[in-house]
Amino acid sequence: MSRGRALLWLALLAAVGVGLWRIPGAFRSSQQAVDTVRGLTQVERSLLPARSFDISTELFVAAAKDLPVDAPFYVATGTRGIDISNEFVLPKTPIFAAYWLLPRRETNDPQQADWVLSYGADLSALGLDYARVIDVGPGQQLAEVQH
Amino acid sequence: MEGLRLAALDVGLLVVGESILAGLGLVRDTRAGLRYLGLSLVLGWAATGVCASLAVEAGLELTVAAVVVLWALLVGASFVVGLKVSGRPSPVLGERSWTGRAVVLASGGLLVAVLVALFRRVDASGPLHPDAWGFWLPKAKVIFETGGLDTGLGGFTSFAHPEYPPLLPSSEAVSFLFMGHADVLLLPVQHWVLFVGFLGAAYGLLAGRVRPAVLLPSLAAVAMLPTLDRLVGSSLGDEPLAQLFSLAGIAAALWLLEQDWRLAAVSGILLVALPMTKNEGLMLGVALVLMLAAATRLRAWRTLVPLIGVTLLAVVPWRVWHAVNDVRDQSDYRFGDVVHFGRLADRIDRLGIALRDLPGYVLDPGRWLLAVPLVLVLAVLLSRRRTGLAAVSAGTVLIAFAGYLAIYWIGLPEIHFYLDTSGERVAAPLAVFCAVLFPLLATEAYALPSEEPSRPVLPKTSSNSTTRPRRSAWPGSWRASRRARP
Repeated sequence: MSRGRALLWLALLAAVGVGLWRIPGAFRSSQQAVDTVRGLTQVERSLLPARSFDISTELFVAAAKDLPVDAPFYVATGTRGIDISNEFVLPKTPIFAAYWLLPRRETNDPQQADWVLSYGADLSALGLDYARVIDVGPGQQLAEVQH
Repeated sequence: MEGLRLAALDVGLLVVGESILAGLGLVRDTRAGLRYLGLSLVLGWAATGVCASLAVEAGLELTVAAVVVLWALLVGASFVVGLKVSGRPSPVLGERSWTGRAVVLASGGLLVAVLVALFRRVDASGPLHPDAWGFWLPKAKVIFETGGLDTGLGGFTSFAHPEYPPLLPSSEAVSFLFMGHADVLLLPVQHWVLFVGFLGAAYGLLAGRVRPAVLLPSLAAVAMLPTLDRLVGSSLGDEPLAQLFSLAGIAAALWLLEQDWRLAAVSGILLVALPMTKNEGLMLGVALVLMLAAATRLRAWRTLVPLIGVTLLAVVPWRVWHAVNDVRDQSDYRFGDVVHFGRLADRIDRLGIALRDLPGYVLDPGRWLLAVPLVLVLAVLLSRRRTGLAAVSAGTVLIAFAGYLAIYWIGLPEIHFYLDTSGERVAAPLAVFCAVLFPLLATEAYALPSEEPSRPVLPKTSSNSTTRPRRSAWPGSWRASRRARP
């Protein structure tokens, strides 16, 4: 057998070997994914990206219920009255809100907002007047801006 | 109900894809139509995505009716082309031995089982990756809600990476339009359907040259690639990028072997979609076309020039839209930095780190089995007898790898963070490209004579003949093929 032919057979054996080695893992990873979402509702599943960063999700659910679909909103974050478990929670919260609350539009300027979502923030520090403030959970409020 | 509407979308994609293939002469009977069913779905998806993104860039409103009109235009154009193009026979290899049939049965069963497991996973998944919900899906939702590239408050350009091209968000928006609402939990199922189409496309393309007993186990292995398994249904741009690039690679490799321009045309359609899917798609497309040019020594320039042209021109509409709308650029790198030698020297440590870490992402069996190293080995084996094929498979991977190294070198984010957050995903196109080319390369390597003569054996010629032995099969057979071409 030539060196080339031997190398070819070696490559084919390696391919078969690594393929066989992978088979149990392919099925295991699928089962793990199924187990992760077992018993969750559609809404809970759609909130999993936020939960994966340990972001509390009551605020988003309440906002989806109370904010009109054409209302621009601003997300204010801070550490008042809420436990922050990791460095990603505060930067990821407005990003998730912008995605999850569409077609409502997020603004970076609180003056343009009809609503403010406070995730551990001090609402009074924004210098806005509010028509109403709804307590959603510890450190989380929804505030309708009075223009 | 949503599922049925999504199925209607897939039927539309299949019709468009089959029409394109019929126009190119690859599908002219039922058997060929079945053989290329997967390729039809992927081509239909790519063509719809290209047209949908061009439409939104032109300011047209994306609706179901608009999509159907675009489909009608594509089918009509394919029909007109088909009138001038002759069909080509579509032979498929089979298995005669019982051993071969047993392998086909076992590997076919494994493939089905893996796809069922993958379906269970995607059906249970959602947009978990931060990039998926950070910008890919919000952009798609905006197109779905507004029908276009809204640049206003909270619009398309307000999310991260507004410079990314809109093919994928437009395609996802088309899925949402057919569903009737933006159901991000159903979307992974559509991605699974496209992945099955991708595997079917690879099967259809390779079935004329690779035995089923080699092809089916290889495709089962592709379906089990650990990182690809996680990418399918992720709604990340790397998922379609890897599939488009790999199929463009197969079609290009087959064009090298068979010198049939139809295969180059299939590759060309996929190459158009590449840079419209992700910015680095341009680099991947250019790497492939460059290697085709090198492998053919530019002799097939009539085919290569259009391929290069469509790859480069595909980025123009988006760049124009971007400039006209004065959209901010949040790129992680600036291509121009490649020629700023002072800056390159200042960042030489980044190159060292990328050189040290990036191969791990590409070669790690835990991520991509042995797809890349095995293809490099096969390319070495083929380098003397199938020089073009070896050059395209290994050369494209090496050029693209060098391109990624350059991106990490000139990139703006901190290098460790950059590699940690993107290394695994950027390896996807290279690894999947290698994985789908593996059965073709293995077949070609197996077909080589086991003992190579030390000196070339000259064919016997007639006494008055002045014919010289060909250096390779390419130039002569290319000319013959072109003469024979309709």
